[in-house]
Amino acid sequence: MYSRVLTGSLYGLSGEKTWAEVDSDNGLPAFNIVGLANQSIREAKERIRSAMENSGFKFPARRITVNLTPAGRRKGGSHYDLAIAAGLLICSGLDIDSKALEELENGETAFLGELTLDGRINAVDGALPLVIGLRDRGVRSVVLPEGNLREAMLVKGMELFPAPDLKACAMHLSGFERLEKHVGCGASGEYRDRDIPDFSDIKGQESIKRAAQLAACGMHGMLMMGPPGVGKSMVGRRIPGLLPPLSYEEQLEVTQIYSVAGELSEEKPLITERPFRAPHHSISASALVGGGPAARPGEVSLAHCGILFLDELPEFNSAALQSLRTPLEEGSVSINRVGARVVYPARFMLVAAMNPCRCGYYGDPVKECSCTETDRKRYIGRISGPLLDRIDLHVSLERLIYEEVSVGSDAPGSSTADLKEGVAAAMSIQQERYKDETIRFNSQLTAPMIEKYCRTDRTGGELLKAAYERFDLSARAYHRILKLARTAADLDGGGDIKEKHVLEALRYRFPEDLMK
Amino acid sequence: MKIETMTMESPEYPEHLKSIPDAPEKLYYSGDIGIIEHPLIAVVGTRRCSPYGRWAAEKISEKIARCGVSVVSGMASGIDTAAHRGCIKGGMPTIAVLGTGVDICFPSSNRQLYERIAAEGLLISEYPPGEGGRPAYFPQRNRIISGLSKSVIVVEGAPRSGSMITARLALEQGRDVFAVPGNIDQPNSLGVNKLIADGAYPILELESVCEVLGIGVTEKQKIIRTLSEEEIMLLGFISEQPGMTIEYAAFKTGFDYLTASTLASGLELKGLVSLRGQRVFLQK
Repeated sequence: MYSRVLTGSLYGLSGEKTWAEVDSDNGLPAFNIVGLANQSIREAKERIRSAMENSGFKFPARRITVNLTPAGRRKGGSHYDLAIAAGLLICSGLDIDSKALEELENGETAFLGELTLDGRINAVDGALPLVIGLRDRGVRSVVLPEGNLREAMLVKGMELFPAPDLKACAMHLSGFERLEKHVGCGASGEYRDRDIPDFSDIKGQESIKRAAQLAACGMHGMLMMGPPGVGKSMVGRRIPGLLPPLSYEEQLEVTQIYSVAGELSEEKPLITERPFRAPHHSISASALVGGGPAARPGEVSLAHCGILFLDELPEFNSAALQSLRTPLEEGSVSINRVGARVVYPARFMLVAAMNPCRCGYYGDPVKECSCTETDRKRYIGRISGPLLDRIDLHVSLERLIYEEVSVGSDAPGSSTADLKEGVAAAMSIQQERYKDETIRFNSQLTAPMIEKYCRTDRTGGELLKAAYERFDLSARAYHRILKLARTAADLDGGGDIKEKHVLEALRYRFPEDLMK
Repeated sequence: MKIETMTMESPEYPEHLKSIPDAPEKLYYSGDIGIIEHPLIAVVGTRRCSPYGRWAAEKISEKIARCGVSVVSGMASGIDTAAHRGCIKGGMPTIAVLGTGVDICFPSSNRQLYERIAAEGLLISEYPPGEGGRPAYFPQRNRIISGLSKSVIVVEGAPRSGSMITARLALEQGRDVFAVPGNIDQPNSLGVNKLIADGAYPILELESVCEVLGIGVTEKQKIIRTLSEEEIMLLGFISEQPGMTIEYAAFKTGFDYLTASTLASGLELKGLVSLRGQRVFLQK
């Protein structure tokens, strides 16, 4: 007796159709799973046997062979359990009408779910990208764990049947008692503002607030430099509040990544807010950009559409910092494994913070720095030039002397709400400008695009030329300034780049004298 | 070529020149006589100059020309030639006082420069047109070079050279004499170094030459003249309290932060202040 039931396999973020073929034959009782299945799938045998027995079915005492096809591709994960169990039930004579059987064998319905020994169905990782992949390949409905329903509801038009346990699933198959049908409706509509602290907590310091606003507008990489205790982390944690809520497409992309990474939970079934990832500086390169045996997405992908905050940048291990270059450049990470290459999106805004030297007091007006010149250069030198080249905006925070502090203490200065308004406007200007391009933000402009989109008016152009000569800028630095000036102009209502925009952008050059 | 004359009675005859003993009765000239009204400084030196001397003469002339001064020299080869060139480079017309008639180019190797001065500058001589040079004429015309000028800069010269004669005459005429110090292993340095020993002002560095000479406006002052009112205000505050943060400066001057920051960035670009992080210092 033979049957086949559709399920899916996940390669990176791409979900593909996989058939679970089940054949039961006369012979010595045996249960074999073939089709390049890994350990977690082979263990499915024991789960399925117990789940069936404990749900009131008889596990057939026959020679059973399961083939996961296409058999040439490696497979992993525990979501195959339900499809294999469904196939077994049909093979062992589950009462199912011929029309339903035909639909099943045509692959109109797919099954995802991990079984427990008592027959309940557990949520699985990667359900969202699987469901998206199946929909794109013509599958109409999916039977899936109840715990994955919320994320799957993001997939427009998909029929979803959440199953609590194997028994309910069997009743659904036989048509005796259908599962409740849900239809994917797209955006979740819910947007819970995480408790993002407000910029008004930072008294005065308009300089850093302005820099953060500018960086957020164009999603420019930003490096804050300053002695300990001036509020670098405070600023970093407030930047997510400046960004607009995730769009539906972004929610879909981000939730998929979290789904694959197994970072969704009952409390957080969907990602509705901008990610803010702040890994500790002891993180390894593969945890940062993704990898490991299962080619899991790394922090850069988990920060997709949001912010990757690296505090104490020079303390990160150098391999980890080097590995950031590709995602910063390409907006994605590709991980190569035997037999598979997976690509995860990683378009994030890098916000980094560092001390100007190891002791932190270089250039401080009051406290003396205890580092030697060599120490200082070594400290700065840990961040390679190519990485610095990919950070558009450099800003320093100062330890204020008493006189200066007293200036800011009365006025709270700009709050998140004040700053956010400008960001939203500047972002929609960019959206309009780049609607025919592959990019979304000024920070992503390539050299030919800079020629096209970063036009300066006459005085702005002259100023830029003067700056190029006076500050001895490199071509890359010149481009960074143009991109920032573009953003400054967008924050000022769009149009050509004027003198004042160039002047502002010039303020955010890397402090070259630190290297000397 | 149009050659004109002027006598002591002519209105265009410079008052300044009349005051010297032995002032010429009659002068032949060709070119724009208006140049004689400019602030004038003589740059003179040896014909057999070193590369350093040529460089110094040209740079100094260029620098002072940029402050609005026209350079007077004798169009001889060597330092004189470099001085005229530097002046032209600095954007000012130059005056050549010749030891021949103004229609004669001597030395002939300076033909190009001669024509350029004839076209844009002023050629002056006390000798009638057609008069070829005689050895005695050249020291003679030196008194006119210094007589026309407010100060004289001697770049290189041996102790008994024409340039030393010019320096001596200049002192007699009450002109300020400046000298560019030279290497002590070169005979052409001895004259100028002796001048310094005798009390001529040494030119110690190129940067400050205009201030030392007390002429025109310095480049910095020129830039400051082009500043807007806001920029002046901010600059004024920075010079009072250098090293303060821009935000503090903004508060004190009443600008919002962004305006102050942009202004400071502009001042930095103009070379007037330097920014280190959020702190702003005066650029020396």
